[in-house]
Amino acid sequence: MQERPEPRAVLEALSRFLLEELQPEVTDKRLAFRVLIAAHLAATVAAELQVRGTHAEAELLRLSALLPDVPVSSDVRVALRDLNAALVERLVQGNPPEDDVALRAHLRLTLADALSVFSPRFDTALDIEG
Amino acid sequence: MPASFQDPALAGRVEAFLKAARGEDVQVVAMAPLAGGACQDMHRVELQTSQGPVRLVLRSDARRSLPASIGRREEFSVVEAARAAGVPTPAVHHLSEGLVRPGAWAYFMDWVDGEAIGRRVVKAQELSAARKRLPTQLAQALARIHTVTPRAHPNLFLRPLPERPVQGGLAFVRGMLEALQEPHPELEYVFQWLAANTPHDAGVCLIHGDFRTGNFLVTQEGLAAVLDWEFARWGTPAEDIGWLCVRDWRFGQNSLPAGGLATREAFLEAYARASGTEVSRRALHWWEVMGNVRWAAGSIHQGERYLSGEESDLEYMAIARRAPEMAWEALRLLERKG
Repeated sequence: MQERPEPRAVLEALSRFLLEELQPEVTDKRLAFRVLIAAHLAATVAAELQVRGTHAEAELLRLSALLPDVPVSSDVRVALRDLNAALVERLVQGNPPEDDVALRAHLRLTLADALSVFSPRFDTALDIEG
Repeated sequence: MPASFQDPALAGRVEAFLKAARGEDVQVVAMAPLAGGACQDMHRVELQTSQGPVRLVLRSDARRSLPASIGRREEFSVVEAARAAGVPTPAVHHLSEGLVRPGAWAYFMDWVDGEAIGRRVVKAQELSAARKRLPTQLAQALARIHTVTPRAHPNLFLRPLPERPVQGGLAFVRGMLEALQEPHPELEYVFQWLAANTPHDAGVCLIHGDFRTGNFLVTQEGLAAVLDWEFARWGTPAEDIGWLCVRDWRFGQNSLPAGGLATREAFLEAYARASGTEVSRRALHWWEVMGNVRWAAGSIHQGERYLSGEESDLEYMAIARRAPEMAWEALRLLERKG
């Protein structure tokens, strides 16, 4: 199967086209704003393709440690969905994993990984209010 | 009637309606759609009247609504009650059904000039003097909104009166979480914290429900008008103040949690001066955490509206991708412990 240009490179090219060639030519303000949104979405999905596997593996390791009794599928996506569903169920039932510090750290790390891709300029410092 | 109207038939109906409603000869000289919200259609309407030119906004029910939103018929009564309480918000006129679409309620409101774009309100150089006045003015506006009580206005809303706003807020967000299409343990974790740490409920009053930077008009003099009452409901004062403090409405001014304009402490003091009522720091913290969870879940639902085909605006997808920002902030607030 042909791999080049890779999906990430295609999305990066799409984002550059939207931002550098199309957006300056759009005179309608609302439409120009949507072109910016489209360029941003394409760029973030390109970034996501690059790190998705690494982030998923790390999330899976943390979840498996928090929920050692939950069976884990060999398919990472299925495993993550099952583990996250099990975690939600245990939280709803008032039976969360015992190590609350590790649980919070896991939730923060998972969000930080997502933010590094979706919102790279978002400040993840704990003290943002000065 | 000029032929260049985007919707000449609607412009014709509006002209005939306003002639009858105002009892004078008026001519619609321009009419154009305005960027609205998810629950209403809005048009700018330029009139020529015997008194001179008049500019109005026509605000109509949209084809769709969100679960927490009210229709234009209820909204009209809410705005009238708020204005009677002294809240600066545009006057509303001529409530009617079917003017824009069969079955859709609509009304006109006065046009008010001002800046509403959040990042400009918190950063524009020409509004720096306004920003010094805004915290006090916003606190005064909120205090006036909160003087409207169910006892004085028993029929303001069609929905039943919540006995406890805190429990009502929890139930609403519970419903949002149940409707998510994939598991979100980060939101469930914060929800469980909210359920275990409920604050004391204050009295029930009218709340704006979406009182935030971006939903009021600002001029160099300060607050010109409070807008967008579609999420108004019976609630509790801390709910409105907590929503104003949600990080997304600071537009980068993170050291000023109250709408990117004031510290929490300064805003609570201004509100206490304006209302004579103390809102506790603990209640504010709880409602701010709640606001972030609500907005995180709401953002994900916006993406679902696109995925289901209900909406075609790309912005809904972008909003859904920003949900981790609100979830992060909710968790950060738990670490901060108020």
